[in-house]
Amino acid sequence: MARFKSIRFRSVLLAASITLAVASPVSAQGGGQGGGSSGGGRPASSEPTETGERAQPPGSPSGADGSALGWGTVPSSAGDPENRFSAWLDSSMEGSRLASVRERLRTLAGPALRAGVPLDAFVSRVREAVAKGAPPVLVAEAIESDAAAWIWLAGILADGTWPPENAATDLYLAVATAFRNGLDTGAVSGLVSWARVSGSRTGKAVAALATASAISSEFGASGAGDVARIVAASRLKIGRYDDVAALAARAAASGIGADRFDSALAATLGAGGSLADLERALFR
Amino acid sequence: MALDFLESRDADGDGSASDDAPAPFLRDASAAARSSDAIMAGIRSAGPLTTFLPRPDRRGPGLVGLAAAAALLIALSSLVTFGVMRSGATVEVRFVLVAPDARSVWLAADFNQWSPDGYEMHRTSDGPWEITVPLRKDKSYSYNFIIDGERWIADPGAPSRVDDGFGGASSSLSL
Repeated sequence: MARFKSIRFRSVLLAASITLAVASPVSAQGGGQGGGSSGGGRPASSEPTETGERAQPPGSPSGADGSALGWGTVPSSAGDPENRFSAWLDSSMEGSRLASVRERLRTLAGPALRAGVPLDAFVSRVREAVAKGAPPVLVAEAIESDAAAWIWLAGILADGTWPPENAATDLYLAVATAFRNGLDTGAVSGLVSWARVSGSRTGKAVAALATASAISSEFGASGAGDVARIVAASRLKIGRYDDVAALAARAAASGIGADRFDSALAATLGAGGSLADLERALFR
Repeated sequence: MALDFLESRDADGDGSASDDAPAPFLRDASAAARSSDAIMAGIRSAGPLTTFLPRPDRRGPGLVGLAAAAALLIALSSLVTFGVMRSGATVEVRFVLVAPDARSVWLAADFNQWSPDGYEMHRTSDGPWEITVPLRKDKSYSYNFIIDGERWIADPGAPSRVDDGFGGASSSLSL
């Protein structure tokens, strides 16, 4: 009877898997149409293309060839990164809006681009700033700070063994966010060393940095010392990292300090434990 | 069609799958029959098949564990509801915002180049604004909601919120 139950259970699982596998593409193509869509429906896929350019979002005012000024104008792939960034600033809507600090942006980007910082990291931050309507001086200050972080990062990645080139931009952006939200060089270099030795996927390190940034932001500048490395090295899937941040927010709201959170994290996730172990350690 | 493109890639997006077709497997029929007999004899001598079958796990989670898991689930469900249907390397992510007084809500994110007019959210019949976006797994994303075309806010239900350096905050999402 036990054997029958086991086999039946496995059969149900198998059937469910097959059903999901068959249904997924259908659902993905039709998903998002419900709910009274009044315009646009389901967005087209938003993922980067192989060349690192991004698919044109629906409704974007820029032309598909990227020639018009506007969102989605992509820097030319010809020439060295400094010239490409400069040309993009001259020709894009973003550069036009930041005309008063354009030279400053060019000047601060030069050393970073020469050090190996991906051009896409600069472009992404400039786009975000302009989209949010940030004042040009604030944009220049923020990107200057990012550039300093990126030059430091380029130094510790100089041997070129990690990360893969197609994932580097995400890592650079995540490190700038981490510094901005209170992580220090020790926390980031610890993560990079671990990722290099373990051969980890860059996505894991990037997501762990995002989680650590949120936790540091929650607890203040002193928090999240070794959080990124512990989370990345844990057995959690990336999709559960936000749960760690949720527990940190709950802990902070309960008056638990950064030190206690860090030690609970190290004693649970850092020792092969689960999210439930971390929750018990924090709130028992 | 874009989804097909994504599904064909691995989680790192490096498209490492090989294009090499396997060589045809040609074998002499009598040799196959001999080896089949040998294999079946080996299996019969190994004893009852039940030895290899997995046994059902009769341990149940404790009540405290179940309650904790439920509480965590409820706390997170208000922010981003993951699509139930998962396909290969992508996940359907439903972004939801409760903003009853808003006239329009848009989603801007690093995955749409922060375009403020790329992804318009739709008001559902029961009130919240929502949009479903296919995103690649094993990545993290930053996003904001834009209310009435001018007010950028982080997701009020998201646990991961970071200073964006431009005087505001963004939410992050890991898949």
